[in-house]
Amino acid sequence: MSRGTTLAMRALGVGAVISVTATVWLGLWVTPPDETQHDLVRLVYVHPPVAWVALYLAFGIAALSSALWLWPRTRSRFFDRLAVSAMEVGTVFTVLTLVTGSIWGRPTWGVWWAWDARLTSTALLLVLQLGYLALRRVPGDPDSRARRSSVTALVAAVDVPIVHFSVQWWRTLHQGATVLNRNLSPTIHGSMAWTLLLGFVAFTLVFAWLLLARYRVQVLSETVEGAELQGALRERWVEGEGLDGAGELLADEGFVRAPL
Amino acid sequence: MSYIDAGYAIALGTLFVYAALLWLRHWRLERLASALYGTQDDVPRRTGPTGPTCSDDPPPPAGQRAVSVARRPAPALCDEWSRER
Repeated sequence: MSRGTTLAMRALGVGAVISVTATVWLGLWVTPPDETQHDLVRLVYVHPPVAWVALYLAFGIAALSSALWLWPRTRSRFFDRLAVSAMEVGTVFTVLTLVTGSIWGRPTWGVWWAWDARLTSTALLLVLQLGYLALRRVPGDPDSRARRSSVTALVAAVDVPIVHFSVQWWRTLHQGATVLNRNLSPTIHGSMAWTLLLGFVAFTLVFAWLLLARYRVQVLSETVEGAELQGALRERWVEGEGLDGAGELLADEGFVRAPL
Repeated sequence: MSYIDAGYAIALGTLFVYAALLWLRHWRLERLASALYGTQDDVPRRTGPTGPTCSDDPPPPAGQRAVSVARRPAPALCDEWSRER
């Protein structure tokens, strides 16, 4: 790993820890309870930031990287690795979005789950993300795998605007957008607004660190995969299994076979 | 434990566990890569069909091309070729 990457990871890690700690401290002990939600509002400092990362940041990076890989002029292994890394980390955040939302919904709505438009479309998003990750594990050459995954990511990205606008298009239990509403006028004020903003920054830094870590794992994984493939080919070549006919054909064409 | 505490604990705990799993995966892959390639310095910087080869590979006979399927002969062959020289 390059020195620059190591420094970036350390800086992101320190920033993430500090900002998350500050968010927890402010969210749990400093900010006042809400007039209607009372102390339940404290979950708002976690749930929307996690949802922002899952829906917009992670999926946005995955979809954009997939599109850039599919475009021949910008095709690069970097974008494929970035897409799968963002999608996997984003899946974790999507799960957390549903879980924290469910925990908030239990005392608020009286149920752990409702087939509400926002909840249902987010659950669909999670299923699409899991499908993408399952597709990545299907054996195949790297280019075919990248192509399949990229198309899947772009198809799945259609659900993102549906999730965002679901609270406007349908009558839902879920409240409307607090910050990114139609008037672009946040309906949250004071220390709550600053804590919420800090929460967005904190979880964005956490995502960035996890993305970098996952990308490093992807690079190593492909390296090991390539070495294992070479080793398997080498063993098959030495054993001569199933290659006798091909060996003769190659010899006729002027290729040399390694001596046994 | 209240709903709020549970929410914070689950969110932060899950992220921490995932980070730990990523670190563990990285560590295991690094060990595997070192075992496959020898040392960290031998790990190729690019992935792809190429890989380390025997040093001083014998050239193919004139008029014939080397097989491109297996770029690296088995270690035993490298030893055999080095003994022949």
